[in-house]
Amino acid sequence: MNKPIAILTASLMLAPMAHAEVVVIGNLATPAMTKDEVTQFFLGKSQAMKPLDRLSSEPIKAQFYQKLSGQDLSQVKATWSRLVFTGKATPPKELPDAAAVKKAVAADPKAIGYIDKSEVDSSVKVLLSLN
Amino acid sequence: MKKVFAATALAAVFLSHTAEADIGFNAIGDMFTYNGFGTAGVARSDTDGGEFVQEFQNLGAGKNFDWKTDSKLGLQGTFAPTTWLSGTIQGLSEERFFNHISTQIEWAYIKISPLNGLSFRGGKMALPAFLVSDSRNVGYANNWVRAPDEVYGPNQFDTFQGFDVAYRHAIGKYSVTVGALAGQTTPSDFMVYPGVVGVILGHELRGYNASVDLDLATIRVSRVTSAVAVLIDNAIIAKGLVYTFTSIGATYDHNNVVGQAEFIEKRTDGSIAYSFNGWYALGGYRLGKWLPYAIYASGERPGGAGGTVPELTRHTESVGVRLDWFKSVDFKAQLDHITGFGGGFPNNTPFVNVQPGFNNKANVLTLTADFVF
Repeated sequence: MNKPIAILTASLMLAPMAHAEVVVIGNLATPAMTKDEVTQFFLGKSQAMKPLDRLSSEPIKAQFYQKLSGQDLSQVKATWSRLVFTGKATPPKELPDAAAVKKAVAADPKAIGYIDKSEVDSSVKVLLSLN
Repeated sequence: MKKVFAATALAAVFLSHTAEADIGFNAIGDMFTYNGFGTAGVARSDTDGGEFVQEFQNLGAGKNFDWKTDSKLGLQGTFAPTTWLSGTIQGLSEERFFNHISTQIEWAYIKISPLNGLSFRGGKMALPAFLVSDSRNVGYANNWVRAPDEVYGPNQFDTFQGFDVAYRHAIGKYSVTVGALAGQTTPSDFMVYPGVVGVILGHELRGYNASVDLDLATIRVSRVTSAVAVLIDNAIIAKGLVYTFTSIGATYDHNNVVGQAEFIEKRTDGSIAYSFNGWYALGGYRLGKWLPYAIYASGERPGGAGGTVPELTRHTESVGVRLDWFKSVDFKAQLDHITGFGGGFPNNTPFVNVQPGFNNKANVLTLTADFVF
């Protein structure tokens, strides 16, 4: 492999990792969480917290589930379709952008969401960093 | 012309909606959410000697492409005025024993969750006799084209009216769930022989189940007991038969490997003819958007009663592939090689309307598209 192609290949492989630092955020009153706890809420195993999702058109959604559980969105969807059609859980509400997620978790101590690290501000608390 | 245009536009809107929308939070107001699922499928057998059916069907697939064996459409709505109280209703249209394509209310129940992990329900619900009881009709939630009939066919009852309780306890990323139920089954129709229809009803229904979720694997055990009454032409021909249905199942999903297996045992005291044992194992490997898989399923009605009840066996070898190409829509193709027995109730047969000389073997090709919204 010649050098320019090697560099191109390396930068293509690193590119998706470089800009994606997803953080799980909650209300200022919410204690920090482990990855296992966050997984339980977002994959419908526990209803103790209210997870807030993003639209599938946002790349952060696929990144979030990949980092959280190693699953792609079709697997996540299959999991949720099992839960929804067993009456066990209602899927998370999908919010259009990071601002909407921040607003919702700031107002509700039970709500948790995820945004890019660069979008964190003082209205919310970082509960978990996913890298 | 206008009508055709309107129908085409409607279909286009519907398809683009299902192709784009997620299984998600579809809400009307603050308290009502709805979701839907469906399967459009065709099945074709290489023989007309016997029609291939799933349980509770009396017409099936022959050499013509038959769309009724697997196609279905379900809608579900949940009304949740508070976080601890909700009401759910689900309607399902599919090919059934009577009435053929018809819509029925499968579930209508009230759920109360006084504590996290604890829930009580009352109303009409799916009878959780299996690993995949309530999401069995949701093609998108399953990797196969249809649940193996060797295991899922012998249970006469899909739904019940009554109460249940479930409690889930989490330990780190693992959890244990235990449940119990009581009530009576929804009456179920069956064909005694062509032209004569019977009804089975389970009274004094009790059920117990436990499952362990080990993150990568889930193991579930369940037992359902009932006192069964059988009616033919409105005359009671048997009652108080002690019916016991036991199932043990497990699923595995890690990296790209998918596995699922289940064993069932049906016993009815007083008649060996109603007993059945079955099992299946599924293995698959995810290759990006493709999931090729294979299933082996086997079932037997044990013989006995001094040789008057012969042993009957059936088995199916299947290979298939699931493709997740679009959002919320999957496509599947499955080829089944079925070896069975003819005749009707109570033997859980894969073939009906059997012609003389039929060797009880068939190869069935099924193509489906499943969607959820």
